[in-house]
Amino acid sequence: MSKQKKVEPFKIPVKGSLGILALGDIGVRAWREVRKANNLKSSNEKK
Amino acid sequence: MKKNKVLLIGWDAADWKIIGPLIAKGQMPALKKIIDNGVYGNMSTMNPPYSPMLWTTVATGKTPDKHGILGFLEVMPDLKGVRPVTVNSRKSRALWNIFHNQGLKSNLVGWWPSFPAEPIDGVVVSDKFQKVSKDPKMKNPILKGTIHPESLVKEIKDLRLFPYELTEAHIIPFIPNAGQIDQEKDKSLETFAKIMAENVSVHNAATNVMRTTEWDFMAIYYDLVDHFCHAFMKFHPPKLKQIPNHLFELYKDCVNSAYRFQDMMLERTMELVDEDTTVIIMSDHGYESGNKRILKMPKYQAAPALEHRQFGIFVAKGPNIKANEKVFGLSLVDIAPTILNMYDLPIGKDMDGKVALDIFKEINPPKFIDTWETVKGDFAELEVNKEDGVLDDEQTMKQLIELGYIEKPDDNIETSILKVKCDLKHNLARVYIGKQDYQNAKSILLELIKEKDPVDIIPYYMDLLSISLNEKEYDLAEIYLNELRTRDKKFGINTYFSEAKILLSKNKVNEALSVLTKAKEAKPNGEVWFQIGKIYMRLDKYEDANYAFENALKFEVDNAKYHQAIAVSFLRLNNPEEAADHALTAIELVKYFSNAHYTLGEALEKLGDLDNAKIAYETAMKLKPRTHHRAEKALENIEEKKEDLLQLTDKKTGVFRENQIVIVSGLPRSGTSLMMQMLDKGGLITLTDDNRKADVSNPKGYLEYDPVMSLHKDNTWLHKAQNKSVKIVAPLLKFLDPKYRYKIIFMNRNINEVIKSQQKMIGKDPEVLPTKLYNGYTKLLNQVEVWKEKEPSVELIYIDYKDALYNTEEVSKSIKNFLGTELNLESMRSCVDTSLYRNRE
Repeated sequence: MSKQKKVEPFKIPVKGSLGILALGDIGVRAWREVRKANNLKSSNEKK
Repeated sequence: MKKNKVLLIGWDAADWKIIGPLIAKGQMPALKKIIDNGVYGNMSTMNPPYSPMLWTTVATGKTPDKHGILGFLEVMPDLKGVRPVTVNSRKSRALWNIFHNQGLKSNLVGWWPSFPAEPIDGVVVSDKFQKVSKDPKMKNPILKGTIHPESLVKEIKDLRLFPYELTEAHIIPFIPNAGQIDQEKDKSLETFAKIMAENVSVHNAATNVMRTTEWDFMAIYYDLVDHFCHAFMKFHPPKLKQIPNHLFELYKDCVNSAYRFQDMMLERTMELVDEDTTVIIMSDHGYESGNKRILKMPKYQAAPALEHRQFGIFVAKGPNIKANEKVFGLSLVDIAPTILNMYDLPIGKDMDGKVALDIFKEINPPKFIDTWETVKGDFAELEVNKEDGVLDDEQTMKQLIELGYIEKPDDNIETSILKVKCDLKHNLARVYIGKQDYQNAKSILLELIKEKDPVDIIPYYMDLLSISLNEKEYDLAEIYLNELRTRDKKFGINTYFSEAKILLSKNKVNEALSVLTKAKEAKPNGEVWFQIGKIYMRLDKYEDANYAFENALKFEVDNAKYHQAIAVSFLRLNNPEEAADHALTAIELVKYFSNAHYTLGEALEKLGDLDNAKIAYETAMKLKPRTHHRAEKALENIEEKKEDLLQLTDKKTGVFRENQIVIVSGLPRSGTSLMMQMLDKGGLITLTDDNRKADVSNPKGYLEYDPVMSLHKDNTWLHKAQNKSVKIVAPLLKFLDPKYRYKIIFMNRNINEVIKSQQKMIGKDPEVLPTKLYNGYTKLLNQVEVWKEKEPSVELIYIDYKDALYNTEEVSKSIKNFLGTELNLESMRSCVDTSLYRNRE
């Protein structure tokens, strides 16, 4: 397994960013989580 | 214990021309960091520059005729259609097969082609993984064979990014005014989203397997730069005049942004490797970003590859890689042998490349085996499945069509298969042309031209034309050229270079120049200026040649051939400083450029820097596949000069040269026969066939040798003249073979007298002086003066005709000293008859 550099925590915008895409698998997965949470929040608010 | 790991990253089409300015502006920091700690240089591509062929060459160390990947498509094993090329077409073992056999773990992501995934020890995420539908409603199952091991499918299937997931946060950095795009008419955003999504998917898979698996070797392939260049390079600055302003403003940042995003992904990748890992980043070819960009692609297979440039990039860093050093002369075939050497594994003697030893701090002497192909054992190879119709891939086909790499396959399956078969054969022929194996190339092309409609046979004729020009079969070339002109109604090919070459072969220099001048006026480019310059060099019009080469360089400032050509013209114009400068630039661009090293040697010698001139000549000699006779002679001259630094002339005279050829030259009727007779009487054997008998104009005989008259066509007889004297008129001197040493006695006579004598000889009025002839002779004498300076194998002494007649003794002595041989001076003097001096001024 390769070296794992710790990624400093930062807030992921719902719309994502190139920086998040450049992070690769962890970036895309984290972004999708944020989107999912946001969608849930929006639908709850609508309800 | 430290582990020997190699990470190979492929950036298709990455080019220093774009990277250089971005690094200078601090916009590719990750790559810069690697360069600062590693080596960098040009990566030379191969022809034809089609990516699946090239990346397979990278992985196998072999040229496509050996590895079998010959294009973007292949015929399906069941012969039911065509499909994007797969591993099934590969005939050679790749690095990862060898590593598997040797107990090493490899990860492979996105490699083109790598589908179906080979069952190696490690992970393969094949080039099929990232291909998804742009339609959110479509299902995108991961096909069998996409990922190895299959158990990994459920782990990483979510790592594919879909084009519809992208938002303005991703688009705006590339296309700041994307909101202005009329998406009904302009599909650029769709293209953008597709390329981005695919490359992010590759990056996701790569970062995942890097994080979660143990590996010894890992290879990742991105097509981001290549696909962005195909879609947006036409909008890249400087603005092309045909591009409308509003489109230029919309898309002008796209290409740079793609490189910058690639660098961001690199930064993350580098976070996932340790200091013991050797990292190689390379491209398979460059991409035209200047004036040679093509807006209207010709309609033939793989035409977009016309914009691929000869040089890609190579960067490497690692524990045993030199730091911040430029490396030269790398070729795609060198990568596999170099990587095998890093693991101390033997290189197959059937591989076409060599280990790039220059990149290492400590050299591990390469080991060799005859071939890896016949080594028994488990290489994790696939068995070709003749029934795997499932591999037909609509999405990939569609993308290749959109990129213009392939035509939409014909609805008629038989036609479609026929066209693909022809394309693959044609590509194989082009590979042979690249290897200068014209025999094999011709046999394929001559078969292909027998094909009937709908196969377009024009490209085959074009290749046959270029082979016949290379083989100097000009009559055949003319036949092919005429065939092309008859057939070329819609193809729009440029045949002016071929026409000019054919005209030159017939010595119709001015007509050739006029063809090229017309071409230059219609559409100027670097190559046409270069060809014009070459003709001027041939005509000894050095100023005009210099001007033409300067113009060629305005179009392509990094073309080594143009720098070398202008360097030679500067030398002939007695400007060795400029010559050295351009020769050095040519070498900087292409280190293994033998002629540029030779020109540098000439320039340095003229500048008095004998030590460095010697090094330059030695390098030229080493690089030439056959003996570099000029460099050999120039080196001998330098050694002699260094022995006698007070000597002011370029070459040491008065030294007898072993097997030297003594040439008596000058304008016709300048006393050359007299000199031949003097040498004959003096005891030097003359090379003559006595076919031309003595006459009233030359009562003592001409002492000529018939083959001299066709020296410009055949100089293979010159060995017969060794240790003898032979008469060769001035205009033919330039056709002497540089492999011999020549002592030239050049007869000078007042030009008016020469012309009078000639006029009389041919029965014309000797009192009428033809001005044109006078000017022509004056020019010829100047050319001889320049020529003798540039030819290291030539030593020349001028003898005045009158002196030969009236100061014979002194002249004889100086000739004896010049030749460095014994001559009977008394006999030489006795043969002079001053009564034959009849046409005086």
